[in-house]
Amino acid sequence: MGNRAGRRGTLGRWVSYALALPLALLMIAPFLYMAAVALMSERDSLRPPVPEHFAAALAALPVGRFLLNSAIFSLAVVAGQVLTSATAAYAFARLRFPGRDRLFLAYLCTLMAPGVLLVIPRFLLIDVLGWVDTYQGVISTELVSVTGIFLLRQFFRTIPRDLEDAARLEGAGEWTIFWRVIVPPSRPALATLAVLAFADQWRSFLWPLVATRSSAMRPIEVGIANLGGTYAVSWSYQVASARAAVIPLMVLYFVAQKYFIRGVEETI
Amino acid sequence: MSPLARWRAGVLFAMSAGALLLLALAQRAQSGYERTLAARDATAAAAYLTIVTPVARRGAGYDLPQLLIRARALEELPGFSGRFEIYHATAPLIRATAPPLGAAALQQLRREVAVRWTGEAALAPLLDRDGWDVVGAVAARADAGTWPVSTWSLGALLLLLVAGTQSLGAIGRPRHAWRQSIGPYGVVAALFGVAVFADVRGAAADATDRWLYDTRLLMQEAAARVPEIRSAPAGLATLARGAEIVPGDSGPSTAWRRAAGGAVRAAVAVRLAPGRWVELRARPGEGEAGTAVWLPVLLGLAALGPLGALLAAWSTATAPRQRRETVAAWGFLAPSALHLAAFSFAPLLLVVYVSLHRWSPIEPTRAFVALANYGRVFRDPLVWSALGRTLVYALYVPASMTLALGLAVIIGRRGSGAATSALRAFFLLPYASSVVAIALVWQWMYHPDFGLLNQLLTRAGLGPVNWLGDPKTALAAVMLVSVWIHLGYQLTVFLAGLRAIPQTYLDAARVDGANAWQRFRRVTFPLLAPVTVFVLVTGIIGGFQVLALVMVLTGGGPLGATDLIAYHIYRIAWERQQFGDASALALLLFAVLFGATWAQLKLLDRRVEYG
Amino acid sequence: MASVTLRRLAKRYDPHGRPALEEVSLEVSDGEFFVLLGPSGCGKTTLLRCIAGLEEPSAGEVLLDGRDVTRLEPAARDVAMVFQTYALYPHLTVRRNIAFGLEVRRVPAAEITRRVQQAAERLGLGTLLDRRPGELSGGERQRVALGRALVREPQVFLLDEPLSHLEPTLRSELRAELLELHRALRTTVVYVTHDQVEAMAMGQRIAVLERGRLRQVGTPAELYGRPEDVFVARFIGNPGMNLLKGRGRSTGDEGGVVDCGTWSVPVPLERYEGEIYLGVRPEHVSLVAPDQGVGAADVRGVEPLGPDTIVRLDANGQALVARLHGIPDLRPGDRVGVKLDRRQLHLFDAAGARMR
Ligand SMILES: Nc1ncnc2c1ncn2[C@@H]1O[C@H](COP(=O)(O)OP(=O)(O)OP(=O)(O)O)[C@@H](O)[C@H]1O
Ligand SMILES: [Mg+2]
Repeated sequence: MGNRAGRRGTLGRWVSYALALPLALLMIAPFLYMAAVALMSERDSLRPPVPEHFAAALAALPVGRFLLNSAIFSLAVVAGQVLTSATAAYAFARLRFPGRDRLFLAYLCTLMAPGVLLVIPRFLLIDVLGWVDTYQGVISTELVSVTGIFLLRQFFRTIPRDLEDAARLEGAGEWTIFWRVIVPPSRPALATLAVLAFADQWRSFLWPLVATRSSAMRPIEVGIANLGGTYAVSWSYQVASARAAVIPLMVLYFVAQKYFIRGVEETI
Repeated sequence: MSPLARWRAGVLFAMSAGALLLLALAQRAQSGYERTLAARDATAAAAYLTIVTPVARRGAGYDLPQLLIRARALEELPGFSGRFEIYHATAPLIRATAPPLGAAALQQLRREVAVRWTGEAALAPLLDRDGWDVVGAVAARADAGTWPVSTWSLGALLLLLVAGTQSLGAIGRPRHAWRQSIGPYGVVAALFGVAVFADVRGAAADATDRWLYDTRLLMQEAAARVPEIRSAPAGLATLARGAEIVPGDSGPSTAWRRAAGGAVRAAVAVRLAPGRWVELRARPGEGEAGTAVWLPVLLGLAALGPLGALLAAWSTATAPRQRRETVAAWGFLAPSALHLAAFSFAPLLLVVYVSLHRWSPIEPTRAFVALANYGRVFRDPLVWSALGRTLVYALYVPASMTLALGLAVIIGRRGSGAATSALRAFFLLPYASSVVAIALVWQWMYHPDFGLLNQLLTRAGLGPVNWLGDPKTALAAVMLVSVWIHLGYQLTVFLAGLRAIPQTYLDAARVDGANAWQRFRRVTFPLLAPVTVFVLVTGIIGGFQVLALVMVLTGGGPLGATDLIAYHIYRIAWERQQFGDASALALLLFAVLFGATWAQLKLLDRRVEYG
Repeated sequence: MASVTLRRLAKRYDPHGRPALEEVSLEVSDGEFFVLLGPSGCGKTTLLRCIAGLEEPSAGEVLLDGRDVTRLEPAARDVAMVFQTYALYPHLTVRRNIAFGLEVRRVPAAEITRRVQQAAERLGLGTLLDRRPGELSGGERQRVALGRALVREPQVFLLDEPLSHLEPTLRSELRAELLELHRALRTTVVYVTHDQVEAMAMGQRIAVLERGRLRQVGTPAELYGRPEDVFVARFIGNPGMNLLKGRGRSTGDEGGVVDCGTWSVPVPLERYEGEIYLGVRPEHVSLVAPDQGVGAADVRGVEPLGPDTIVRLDANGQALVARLHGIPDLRPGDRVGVKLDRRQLHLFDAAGARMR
C-alpha cells in the first residue's frame, strides 16, 4: 500500500517536472538568445558568433557612463529609501500620536497615483528648481518609497512590544530603541527592501527618461532604449548593451534571490 | 515662570510677530510698487524728452531752451502723477532752485545707463537723440505710500486681536475649550491674510493703472508734438517699457483689464490723432498679475499665530508622555512626510491645476480653460480606442494567471522544496530583469527575417509572420511578452498562497474521497480566492500603466495597434507637449484606478482565516 | 531600596470601555516581597506597567520612597522589570542583553564587565554568556531576564509572572531560588502571578485583584483565614472555600441560624434577616453517619490525593467539598451526614462582603 502510494507520488512528481521543465526553458530562452545574438552580426544570426561586436558596442556607445549613472541613481535611492522607510515605518508601527492612521492612509493613497500622472508635475517641479538633467533631479523624487514603509511597518509590528518597553525601562530614548532594538532584528526586511529598491531603480525608465536630456546623465535603461534614434546602431549593438544592462540585475538576482522572493511574497 | 506662562508668552510672541511681519511685508510690497511706478515714470519721461526735444543746431546735444520748455510742460500735463526733476547734465531744469545732481551720480548713470535710486527718487538716464550718450537725468519721486492697510484689513486686524486674545486665554484649558476658540482664530487670521493680500494686489493694480495712464499721456503728448509718430507708433516703444503697443480702438482714458493671450492684462487706449488709436497693454506678468506669489507668503505669516496657539494648547492639554511620543513620531516621520508633501501631494495638486489650463512647455502663456481639457480628451476617439486596446491587453492577466495557478498547483505540492525553488528561480528571472532589455531581445526574437520565432516557423513550413509589424498580430505579440514577464511573479505569489493553506484541509478532503481535481476545485481554489483577486486586480491596474514595454518594443505602432493608454498619455505630454490634456487624461485614469483599488480592498476585506 | 505607594490609581485604555484599574491604593514597604494575585485579565500587568512608568495612569499617583513619580519617565524611576515574555533582545548575546541597560546609561565598560560577571555568577549563567536568546531553554531565558534586571541594581524589582511559562518542577525550583535571591538582596519586589499557590508560597503580603479592583491585601494567613469577600474566599485555597447560599435569621441572645434548604446551621449572628453566604473551608467539613451533623448530603465524587481525599458532595442541590484525611471508604451515591466546624464558619452578606 505504502509502496504504491510512494510510486504514485514519484510518478506524479516526474509528470509535473515533465510539464514544468519545458516551460522553464522557454522562460530563459530569450536570455540565452540575448547572450548569443549580441555576438552575431545582423545578417547572420545563425552563423558563428563574432565576439568583437560586444566590444564594438561598448566602444561606440557611452555604455560605461550609462552604467555609472545607473549605479549612482540606484545606490543613492536605496540609501534614501531604506533610511526614510525605516524611520517612518517605526513611527507608524510603534509610536502613538494623533492622526496616525489617517496619515498612513494618506501615504498609501500616493501609491495609487499612476507613474504617468506624477511625471508631469514632478517634471515641472524640478524644472522650476533647475534640476532637469541633473543627478539630484532624477534622485530627489524617488527618495521615499511608500511600499517600503508599508513593508517595514508590517515587519516592525511583528517585533514584540515588550522588547521596546524593556529598553525604555532601561533608559533608552526613542532613537536608541529604534536603532538598537528595532533595526537589528529587522535586517532581513531591510535587505529585502534594499534589494527591491535597487532593482526597481535600476530598471526604472519613465522618470529618468523625462528628467534627463543629455546622454551624460542617462541611466542604462534609457540609454539603450534610445539608441535606435540617437546612434542608429545595429540591433546586435543594442542587444549587446542590453546585456550590459541586465548583467548587474542578474548577478543581484542570483546572489539575493531569497530577498526578491520575499519581496514578492510580502506584497500579498 | 510656570510652563503655562512660558507657552503663553511664546504664543503671544508668535502672534504679534506674525501680524507685524505681515503688515511690514505688505508695506514693503506696496512701497515697492510705488518705486516701480516712479522708475517707470522717470524712464518714460526721459524717453519722451528724447523723442520730442529738437536737437541743438551744433553738436549732438539737445537744444537747451527747447528742453527747458518741454520739461516744464511735463508739469502741466493734466492728471499726470509723476513728480519730476529734470537735469541737464547736473543742472535742474524745472525748479532752478533745486539742488543740482551730484557729479558722481551722473557719472554712475553714464557708466550703467540704467535706473538708479538716490534716496527717495528714481533717477533715469536722459540719453541724447541717438542714444549714444547720457546728457542728463530724470528724477521721479516715489509716493511715500499710504497707511499700508485698507479699512477692511483694519477690521480684520481688530477681529484678529479679539480672537487672538481669546485663544491665548484658552491655552491650558481642556481640549474642547481651546478647540472652540482656536478654530475661529485660524479663520480670522486667514481672513486677515487675504485682506492684506487684497491691499497689496490693489496697490499693484493702482500703480499699474497710474503707470499706464501716465504713459498714455506722454504718448499722446509726443504724438501731438511729433507728427511722424502718429503713423509709426512703434517709435514710442522706448516710452512704454514693460508694455506692448498694439492696434486698438477708442476707449476711456483710464486703464481697464481684459483677458488677452491667456492672461488678464491691464490696458489703456491711446489716441494718437483723431481716429487713430492704439492700445497700450501691460506685458503678461506685469502689475498685479505678479502678486500671486504674495498670497502663500502672507497666509503663511498669518498662520503663525494660530499654529503657535494650537501647538501650545495641544502641548499643555496633553500628557507629557504622549507629547514626547508625538514629537518623536513627527521627528521620525519628517523626512518622508516632507518628501511626500513636496514630491507627491504638491504634484497631485499641481497636476489638477495644470489640467485646468492650456499648458505647454513651449508656450509662455497658460490660459485657464476650466474643464475644456477634460472635454477634449473625453471626445477624442483615439483616447477611447487606446482605452479599449488597454482593456484587451489586460486580458493577458487572466491568461497568465491561469497558467501560473496551474503551474503552482503542479509544482507546489509535489516535488522537493529544492526542485520547486529552482524552477521558480527560472520563472522569476524575467520579472527580476530589465524591461527595456527584455523589449530589445523580444524585438529581435520577433524579427520578421532573422528572429528565432520566425526561423522556427519557417522550418515548420508555416511561413514568416511579421509579428510586430502587422497590426493584426502586434498587440498579441506584446501580450505574449507580458505573460512571459509576469508569469514568474504570479507563480511566486500563488506558491506562497498555497503554502499558507494547511495540509490538513487537503488531507481531510482526501479522506472524504475527493480526487485531485475535486480537491483543487473545492478546497484549494476557494481558499486561494483572495490571492487570485489580488493578482488579478493588481495585474490589471499594472496593465493600465504599461509604458516602457510598448515604447521600446513597438513605439505604439504599427498604426497605433499597440498604443496603450499610459503610453498614449505620455505621448500627449511629451511628444505633442500638451501637458494640460495629458494631465486631464491622467487624472481620469487615476480616478478609475483608484476606484479599482478601493473595490479590491473592499473585496479582500474579509480575508480567509485558516482556523 | 524603596517603598512603593499607589494612591487611587486608575487606568482606562479605552475611554468608553471598562477601566483596567479602578482606584487601587497600595503600600508596599521597603524590602518586602509583595505579590499581586488575580485571574487572567484582571489588570496585574497594567498595574505593574503603571508602576514602571510604561503606562500613564488615567488618575492617581505612584510614589517611590515617598516621591511622586507619576509623571516621570520609566528610565528616571530606577525600577527594573522582568516581562511576562522575558523580552530578551533576539539579536544580542546573553552578555549584551544583560549589559544593554548599562550601555544605554553609559556606565564605563570595566564596570559593566564586572557587574555582568557578578550577575552571571549569582544566577549560574557563566557558560551561557555568549549564546543568543534563541539558543536558550525557557528556564535559562527566565534567568537571563532576571539577570538583566539584577545588573541594574534597581530600587524595585517588578516581576510579571516570571515562572508561568515553565514546567511545574522547574517552577518550584526557581521559586526557591527567587526567594533566596530576595533574602540576599533585600530589594523591594512586586511579583505578579495568577497562581494562588505560588502567591501563598512566596508572598510576604499578597494583594488580590479582580477586574481592576483591589479585593484584599494581607499576609497569606490573613487571606486564608479571614477572606474579606466571597471572591477572595473562593480564589484562595485549593479547592477554594465552600459557599452555601441560605437565609439568615436571628434567634435572639447572640445567636442565629442559616437555613440552607433542609439544613439549619447555627451561627453567631445578631439581628440579621435575609440572604447570606455561609463559607466553610473543605478541611473544616467532616462526614458522619447520615442521621448526624447538620444534615445529610449525597456523595458525587471522590478524588484521593494521597494524604488527603477530596470528596464532592451535593447538599440540597448546592455543591459542597470536603477534604478528609487518608482515603475513606466512600463511593459516589453514598449518603452521608455533614458536620461543619463551628469555629471556622465565615459569613458573607448578599453582596459578598464579609460580615463582622
Ligand atoms: N494596551 C492595551 N490596550 C487596551 N486594553 C488593554 C491593553 N492592555 C491591557 N488591556 C486590557 O486591560 C485589562 C487588563 O489587562 P492586563 O494585561 O493588565 O491583565 P493581566 O492581569 O496582566 O492578565 P494576564 O494574567 O493574562 O497577563 C484586560 O481586559 C486587557 O484586555
Ligand atoms: Mg499580564
